[in-house]
Amino acid sequence: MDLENNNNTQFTGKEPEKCAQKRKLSITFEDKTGETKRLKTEEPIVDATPRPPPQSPKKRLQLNGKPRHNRDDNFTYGNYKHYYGKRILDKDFHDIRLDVLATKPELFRGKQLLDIGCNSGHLSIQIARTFEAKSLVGLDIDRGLVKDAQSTISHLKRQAAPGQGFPHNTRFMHGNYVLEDDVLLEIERQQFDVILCLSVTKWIHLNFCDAGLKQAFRRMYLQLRPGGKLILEPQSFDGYKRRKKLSEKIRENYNAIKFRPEQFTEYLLSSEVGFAKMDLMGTPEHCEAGFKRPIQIFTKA
Amino acid sequence: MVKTKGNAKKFGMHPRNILRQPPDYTKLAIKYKDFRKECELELNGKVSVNFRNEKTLRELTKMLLKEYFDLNVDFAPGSLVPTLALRLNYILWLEDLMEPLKLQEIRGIDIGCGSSCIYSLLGAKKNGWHMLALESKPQNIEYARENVKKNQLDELIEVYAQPDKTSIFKSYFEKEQKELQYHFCLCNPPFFDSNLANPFGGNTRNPERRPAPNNARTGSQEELTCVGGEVRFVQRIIDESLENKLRVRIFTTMLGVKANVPRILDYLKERQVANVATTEFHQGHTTRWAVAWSFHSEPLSQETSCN
Repeated sequence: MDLENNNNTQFTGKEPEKCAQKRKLSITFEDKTGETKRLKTEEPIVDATPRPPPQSPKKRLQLNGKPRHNRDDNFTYGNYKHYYGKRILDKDFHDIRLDVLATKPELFRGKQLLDIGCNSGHLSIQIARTFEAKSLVGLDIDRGLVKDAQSTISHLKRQAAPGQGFPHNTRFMHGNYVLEDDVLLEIERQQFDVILCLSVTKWIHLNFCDAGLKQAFRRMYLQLRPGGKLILEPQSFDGYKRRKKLSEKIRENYNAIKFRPEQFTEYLLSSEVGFAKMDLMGTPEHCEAGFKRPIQIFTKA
Repeated sequence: MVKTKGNAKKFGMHPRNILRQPPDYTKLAIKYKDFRKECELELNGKVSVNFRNEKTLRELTKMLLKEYFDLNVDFAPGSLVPTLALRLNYILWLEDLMEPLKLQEIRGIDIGCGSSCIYSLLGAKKNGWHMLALESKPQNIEYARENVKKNQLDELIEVYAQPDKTSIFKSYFEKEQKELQYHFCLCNPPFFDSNLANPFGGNTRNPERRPAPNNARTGSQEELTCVGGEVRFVQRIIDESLENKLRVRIFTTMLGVKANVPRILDYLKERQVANVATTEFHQGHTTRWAVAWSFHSEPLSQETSCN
């Protein structure tokens, strides 16, 4: 029996044969304390397999294969752990999209930005810093990645002189941009000048379907002030197919898609969302074909 | 924010209080449109409630009453908006006091029921109690009667129009010939003293350590203040209880200020009232106190505390 060195694993006092069944159930935090208490009165485990070398009691009782809390090896949300490369705070970090964004720096200077699906925050931080934004909030659905982003920015905050500007004007938040119900859009408020949605639409689409993506588009519009801009870098549909096998749910969602990326612009400009116009900002040049996605600007009147 | 788990055991709401765990405001905002309008949507999709806004408090209590008790309640404009957690704590304490009596039918008096008539509504709806709701302010009486009617609790609740604020039971007992026995009375007295230059001044010696309450203040002058504040008001309840010793099995009242609790206990002691119990109500950052006294022989249980 393999034993993982995994501090987040739940442990029970049950015999090894029963472990397989128990593994399938999800154990909540409350159960864990209950389990701990139960351990003290449990009979000793009778091993069918040879006893592993002596370890601390906690490690001896670990199950293998129990998913680490919040660990998603499939990256079903596109929440790749090393999306920006393994180097953190690398001075050479340069995402190719920055070149496109740099063609219109006035879009960002002195503005309040939202970056949807910010991952570990590398690009968000570059944008906030390089273009001297008034403030930037990054949101991501992966708690671990948000934590990384937060520790990066905390580090920068500690190093920097106190003040209003970067890095003190940048923060990261964990959450799902797609709301539990469309009715909540009724109480959404205008609060941003620019919203960045870069290479995220595919993931929203595959996880939350047409309805979820449409709601997200509507939410972006509602959150923008008059004159505000949505900077959108949507993935094309042929990139969706290879993600079908990420999970059963994703495959179902993929098969149900009727709202195609080719229709996004029309939808965003329609009365259902309400953007006034769309301009093409540019397409990154010197990169792999797969990443040559056009970046669009949608303007709210 | 909610206190830590350790603190919650010691200073939490009554164990049976359904609000002991904070409700899922996001799900409730999705369900109730009027409540939703008063909420704020966070970036992460969660809904938050600003307790410092009067309109929000109003919609919040209305929504909670509907959601958890299927009660439709309206408050008179400008009148006191009750917070449900505290009201429930009081009702649950009364349930604990009534339990050992093993009664089939329970009758209670709600002294100053307000426009919401909330205690009577909760007592009647939740426990089938027969309630006599006393109220002196005409606008409140009108709304209270409407609330009782709307919830079809006319059979269980009688709203009686007090001729003035000076009498507690006097007026009703004089006109009511039946000599009915009541099992408890409850009261949220007007906390503040209208005689003082600054009735809402507060008595804290350390304003930095003792911040302002989280809730917006609601309620009219009439509801919140009276001559001599809660001490004088409760003393009048005690005086009248002495004249109607056996008419009400257990007299109870809430007190808003901790320092007033020993004053009331002394007042009872001076009048040789021995059968006395006290309790505390904890909800969020707010604590209230309550005193019960009885002229019947069975001693009041000291175990009934809201912890």
